[in-house]
Amino acid sequence: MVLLIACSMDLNAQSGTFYFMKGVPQAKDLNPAIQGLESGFYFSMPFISKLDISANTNNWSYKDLIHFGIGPEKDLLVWDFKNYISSLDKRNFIQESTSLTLLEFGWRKGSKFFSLSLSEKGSAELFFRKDLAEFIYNGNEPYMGTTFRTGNFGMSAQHYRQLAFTYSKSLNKKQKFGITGKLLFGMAAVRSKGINMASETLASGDGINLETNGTLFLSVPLDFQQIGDGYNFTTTNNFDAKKYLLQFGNPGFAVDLGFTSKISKKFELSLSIIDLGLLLWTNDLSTFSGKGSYFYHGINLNDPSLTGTPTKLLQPLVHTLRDEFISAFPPNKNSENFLTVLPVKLYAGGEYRLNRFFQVSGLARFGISNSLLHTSFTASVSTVLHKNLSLYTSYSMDESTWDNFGIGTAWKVGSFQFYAVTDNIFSPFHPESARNINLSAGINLIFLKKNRIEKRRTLYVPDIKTKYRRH
Amino acid sequence: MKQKIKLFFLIVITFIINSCEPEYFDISRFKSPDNLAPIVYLPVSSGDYIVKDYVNIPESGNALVLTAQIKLDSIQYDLTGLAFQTAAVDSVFLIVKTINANPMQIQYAISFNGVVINSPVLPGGTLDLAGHVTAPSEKTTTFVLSNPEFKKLGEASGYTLLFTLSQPKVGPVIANDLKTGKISMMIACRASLKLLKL
Repeated sequence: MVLLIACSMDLNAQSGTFYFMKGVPQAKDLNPAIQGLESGFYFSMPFISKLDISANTNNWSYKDLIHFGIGPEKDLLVWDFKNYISSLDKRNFIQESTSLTLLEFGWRKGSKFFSLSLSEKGSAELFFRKDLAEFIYNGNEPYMGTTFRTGNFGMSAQHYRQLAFTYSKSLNKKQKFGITGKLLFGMAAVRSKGINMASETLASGDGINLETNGTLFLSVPLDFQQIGDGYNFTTTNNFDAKKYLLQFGNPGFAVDLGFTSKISKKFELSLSIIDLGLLLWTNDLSTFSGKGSYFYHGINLNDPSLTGTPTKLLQPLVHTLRDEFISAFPPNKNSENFLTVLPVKLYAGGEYRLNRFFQVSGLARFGISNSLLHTSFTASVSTVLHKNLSLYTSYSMDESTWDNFGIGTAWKVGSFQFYAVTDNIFSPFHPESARNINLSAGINLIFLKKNRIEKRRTLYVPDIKTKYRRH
Repeated sequence: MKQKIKLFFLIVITFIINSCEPEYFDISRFKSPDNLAPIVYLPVSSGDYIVKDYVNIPESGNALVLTAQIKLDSIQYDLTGLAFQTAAVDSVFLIVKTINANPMQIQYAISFNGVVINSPVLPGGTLDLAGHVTAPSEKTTTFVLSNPEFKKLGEASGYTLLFTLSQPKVGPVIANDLKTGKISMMIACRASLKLLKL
């Protein structure tokens, strides 16, 4: 049986500011219709072609949980759980993703653009409801007489390798279309599905009703052996670094589609859908599932098995409780293939060229995670500072955060192009307050056709001679 | 123009670097998170005690029992093989719910490792005109075990439960009702549990 599990990560791995950096070939990763190369060919520095790092939460930061105390504790970092819980939304998460392009090259032929890249992608996420945090903080005593439900909580992590081929073509003078086909090879994954718990402490205090449900899927080079019927497992480590890095199992496929259209001489619209795909995990599988309910009422001192005269030994009764609990929530282990769906993202952008040197742009980004629609909006102004240096500044509203000031730069030195971009320039330097951190950077070698150099438009390739001749 | 650009980047980088606060991640400054201490309520045990199983009552049938005070045989429970996690709690509330279907008033004492917990006097069951118990009485009593007392419970090899019965304020004590009278006791605990010390 194959289970389909929605993936819920990687939504903000790519910077929205990057979408507008058309002079950088890697912008095609956000819209394959963006060709990024006027002519000639490029290749990226092996192993450091492009590095994407991102980490984000829904709306809470490190400082909400850990900060300096007051008074005698002003030099100590205190854990402020009450403040942390008050900063949570109904549904919460923390995500991290990393992508390293090992090799990439591409070329332009007439109106067509081709590119091939090999990347390693990894991500991890933890998600939970505010209810669960409150339950852990308050305990069950304040909820006596009511049924408390945690809602779904869990985690997911995966590492996969991606081989991507991009084809982009100018359909006419105004419109371009692009498509990227991606072959995926899963390396390792951990996914939870439907893990939730309900607890009712009776108002009389006579007992506690417990219900749990959930499944954990793993595709990892570890072998789990259950000992007896309980929760005791031995783990055999089958990890071999060479075997792990050279594996090409757990296949998957994804596609990106992109489209741009010049509405007028100064105004362009673009649309893309990214990572429409999935992975099938078939190797090194372990699946742990459990579903059950149990009414806990403590030790029954009238249990006929209570032995001993005159002293009654309680240990067997405690063991009986333990055995009843395990029977109610048996840890079932088997191996099931499972599917993970990549997080699909939809981008819709518009660009207006104010003049030869300034352009304003807007981008809306949509993604789905844990059945929730996530949105972010980015407004950007891009300009050319120097013939070899272009600058992109942006402001983004991302989920519930409104303080994302981004910057991107592409700097050309001879044939080398260095680029770096982030949607929040302050986050890396203030990680304690950050809720969104992302950074993309890389190095390309670009070789343009000589007879094309003089015909370049200013904003698209940062090698401008026209502006500086006037000075 | 080049100088202006260089100056711009120099100002930005200087501002950014000087506003970093790495001390937020200085491990040596972390205070122990003892304030993650949810209040946990947990039933511990429940048991029923029939008077005749723990004391010999010479009277029988509808004869009246006039003895002022009756002590039941002590009930001893062995805690050998059980471990208590005492580091994670400062104090524990023992919540004892007693249901007395007995015509006599009761008092109980729980003792372990030199600690004795004495209950107040709990009334007997409701009596009808003939002196038979028609409804039990119910009372919940909360006892506080300080940290040293809870540690003594953790170190104890067992605990003893002792019931003392006394004549009710109003009404007779009929032998049959006394002998078959059931005393039910449910013990639960409530404590602030320091999760990271578990």
